[in-house]
This record gives sequence, C-alpha cells and structure tokens, in this order.
Amino acid sequence: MHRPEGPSLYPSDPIGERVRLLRVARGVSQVELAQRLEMAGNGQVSKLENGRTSVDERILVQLAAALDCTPEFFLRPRRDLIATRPWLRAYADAPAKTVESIAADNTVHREVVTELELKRMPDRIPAFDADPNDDHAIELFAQEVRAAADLDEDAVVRNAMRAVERLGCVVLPLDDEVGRHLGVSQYVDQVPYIRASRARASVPGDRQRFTVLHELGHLALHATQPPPETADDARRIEAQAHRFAGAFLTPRDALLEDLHAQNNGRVTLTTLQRLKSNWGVAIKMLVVRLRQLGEVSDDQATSLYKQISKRGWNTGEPVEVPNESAIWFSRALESRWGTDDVMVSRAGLSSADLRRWTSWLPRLEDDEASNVVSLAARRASRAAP
Amino acid sequence: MTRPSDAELDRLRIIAEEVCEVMAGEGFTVDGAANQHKAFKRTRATVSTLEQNLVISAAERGARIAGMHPDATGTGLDIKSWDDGIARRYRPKKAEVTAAGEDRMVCGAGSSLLKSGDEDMMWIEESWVLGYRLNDDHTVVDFFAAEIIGHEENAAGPVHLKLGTHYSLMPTPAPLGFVSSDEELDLGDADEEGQREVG
Repeated sequence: MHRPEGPSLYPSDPIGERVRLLRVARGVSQVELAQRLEMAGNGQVSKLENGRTSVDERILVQLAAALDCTPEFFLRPRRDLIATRPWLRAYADAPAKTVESIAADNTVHREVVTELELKRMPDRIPAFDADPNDDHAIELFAQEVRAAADLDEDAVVRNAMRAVERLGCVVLPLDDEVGRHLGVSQYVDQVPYIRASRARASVPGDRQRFTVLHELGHLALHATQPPPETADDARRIEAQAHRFAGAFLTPRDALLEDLHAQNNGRVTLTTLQRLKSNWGVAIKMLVVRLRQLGEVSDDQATSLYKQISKRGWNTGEPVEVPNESAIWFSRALESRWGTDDVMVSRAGLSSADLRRWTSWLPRLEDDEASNVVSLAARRASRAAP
Repeated sequence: MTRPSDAELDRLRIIAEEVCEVMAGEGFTVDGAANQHKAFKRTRATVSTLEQNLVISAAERGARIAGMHPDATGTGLDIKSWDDGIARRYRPKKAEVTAAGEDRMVCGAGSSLLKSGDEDMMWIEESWVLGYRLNDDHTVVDFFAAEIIGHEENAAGPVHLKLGTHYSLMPTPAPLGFVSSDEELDLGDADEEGQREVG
C-alpha cells in the first residue's frame, strides 16, 4: 500500500465501494457527504460510489478529511468480506439505515483487526443442531455453550461480556441511535460480532448482560437461519434467544436450588431481589424464567408484575448490577502495538475510531473524542491550497 | 403503658416479615378465590375475610418461628408473650386510615379486646394489636404494634379502639448488589490468523 503522489487518476469502482462503506459506517448520508465536500448536490457522490467517475488525489484527500480517515483507506484492495444479516433484539421496527450503519462499522472493524495483525480469540461457539423450537434443547445447548466459555455447571456468570469474549465473540459498544434496540449481532467474515449498549442510566448492568447473552443466542442458534419473514416468526426467534440467555445466565437446577434456599421457596419481590443480587439478572426476567420453569403460575406472575409496576420498578429496579465492558480489542491492540501511535495510521482511521470501539463509558466520552483533531483532518488542511 | 423490649420488637418483626412475604407471594390467590363466583364480589366482605385468613395464618407461623405463643380465638388469633415481667397479648387486626390521615381500628362491642385483664391473675396482661394495612393488590403497606389504651363507645356501630404509641414493624430490606468480576482474557489462546492474512 502506498500514499498517492501527484495528480494521478484512480478508477473509482473499488474506491467508490470503500467510500460507501465508510460513509455508511459513519452514518453519513450522500447529501451530507456532498456538503462536506462542498459539492452542489449528492449526484457526484452517487456517481463516485457507483464507479461512474474517476477520482484524483485531491478528491481522495478531501474524501479522507470528510470521512476522518487516511487516503490509503480508500485504496485498500477489495476483500469481499461475507457478513450475515444483523440480528437485533426485536428488530422488526429497527431503522434500516441504522442497522446498515452498524453492519458497515463492523465490517470496517473487521478489516482493521486484520490490518493491525491483532490476535483473535478462536470461535468456540458450539454448533446447534437441534430444533430451536424445542425449549429443552435450548436449555441443554446453553449448558454446552457455558462449558465452552469455561463456566462451571452451576456457576454464576460474574462477567457476561468476558464469557462471550472467551467464546471468540468480538464485543463492541453500540451507540444509542438504535433506539430501544440494545444489541445487534452478526457474523462478519466468519467472526461473531456483538454490539451492546454502553453504560447509561437506562441500560443497567442486568439489562446489558442479558442483551449480550441474547445476542449470543442469535449467533449460536440462528447463524444458518434466514431472517424472519413475518412478525410472528420474529417473535418466535426472539423468544428462542431469550430462552437461551435465561438458561445461560440462570441454569435451571442452580437457580431453583437457590430459590428454595431463600424464603421457603416463596416467590416474592424480596426473594426476587435476593436472586437478582445473586445472579445479576433483572427481577422481571426472573419472573419470566421462573414461569418458564413452572415455579410461578400465570396468576402469580400477573400479581408480581402488578407489584413491580406499583413500585415503579418498570423504570428502575432495585439491586444494582454494574455495567460491564469488553476488553479483547483493547488488550489485542496493547499486546500488538503497545502505545505506538503508528497503529492509528496503519488502521487508516482516526484515534477517535479506536477510542469509539474500546470505550465503554457513556456518550460523553464520544463527545470528547470528537474534539480530537484527526490525522486525516490535519493532512487535509496541509494539502489544501 | 409500657414499651416492648428490643428483643420483643425483634420477635414481632419476624411476624411482620412473614405476613408481608405471605401477602406479597400469595395475596394473588385472594383474587383467584373471589373470582370463582360473581356473588363473592358483591361486597368487599369476601375479599376482606380471605385477606384476614391469610394474614392470621402467616402471623401464626411467624409467631412460632419467633418463639412466641399463638392462640387461635374463634376467627382471630392472639399471640401471647412474656417480656421482662410483662404479659402481653397481640392480636393481628386490620387498620384503616381516615380521611384526616389518622389510623382507625374498630371492633365489635363484645370483643375480648375490650375486656380488662383478669383481676385474679398475679399480673396484668396488656392488650396490643398488630395493626396492618393492605394495598389493593393485597400486599402489606403498613404493619405496626400498638397498645390498646382505651376505646370510644359507639351505640350505633362498632367500637373505636384508642391506640398508644405505634411501633413500626415493616421490614427494611438489606442493601443488595450483584458482585461482578473483572476477569482478564488469556490472549495466549488467541489465534494468529490475522497475522497471516496481512499481505
């Protein structure tokens, strides 16, 4: 790979694809990119992305500045990474543009992992070959996946993100643009990716943990399955991922043993709070789980939901469960590059990108990152006449 | 008028906790029972009786757990104790709040709660109530102990009990929190596919 010199013209076909990839990953529209490039309309951007116009070095530098990357990023050879369609929690009403942006960002990340020669954790997610409509099969499979994640049969999952990272999943933060969808998952170039919300008030740790395991459920159960075609299909698939997450976080026998050791096995909000404290899962999730396991009747569940609602716990439950953060990407960067800044230029992106992928702090961190003057912007200002 | 010892209050809290937990965990069965026939819902009497039975059953169990002496009295329950030389008789009883925000507790004119201790006894037995108030969902919102210090005769209706100091017995939940672990990843397990991929 080399830095372009002189007023060379590049065929825009592969460049156009890469512009489109990064533009979508950044969540920038063609119109917005045209404005950043001070073009009259989005027609030229469209032509460029579709390979119907040539690109000279000046445009390449402008594009790099506009999309906060190095010009070399656009000149990388095409890799044709195969990515599966992203799975989301209740994704039927997820905005397509947002989903597309997350998928593109995952693809860019996957490329960076290769460019930076990072060591990946091997994919250890066992194959599921039973019927996903069989709840018992999902329960058994969840135990198999727990074992693959080095968790003892009855052990509490003290760190859900670390468990899925041990299974080879790349876990990256998800910004809240995706609305109420707290998690997204897909395979990119055969690597399992999970996006999960950063810490914020509306996403307590128990919800974040459940989301991560729900997404693992999609990757493990539905990897070879086509996306749902109807709302009923989507609900069924979501229920399967929920069942998997519940079975992973609260193994049947261990949970019931704990329940019966508490409060004479009586399921009250007091019991549920204690169970939440022991297992790191939401009180409402426990009601669902205990109902699945036949410990709570429909009437009792209704009564518990009413009590939960009356106490205002639908918007904020008692018993704190800390938020978690993934560490593989940070550790792999450290292990390969230490503090060497060259990794930023080699990645072809900005330091803000690396920070965005490694920071699990609330969005304020992103705001700070956006104030960092990027390498590309500096280059562009130097290149400007 | 006496004050229960701290040990006695701890015993009463065990009863309160049992009642609160039973009503939280099993109170929904009251609706199930009352829904069996529409006649059961003509007035609130059926629901009140079912609630009372659940409370009394739980209080009886709680009293045994606490090492006190429950004694069934017709439809009710007395819990007897001997605390630092003072005999007390506690009766679980539903309390209401008046529009003025005051507790209101009533009993029938012939209630044993209105009878003073047997003068032939070598000690005076104090009459106390274990007052409780319930939500619409049958959960306990208030549970207290108070001595009956008198009553107001009411020829036209039930007798209003005058209560002494309220000792709140509502359980205070212990602070809880999930303990997560800050586990490391063993990158020694990592594969080096990425390195081979780089041209």
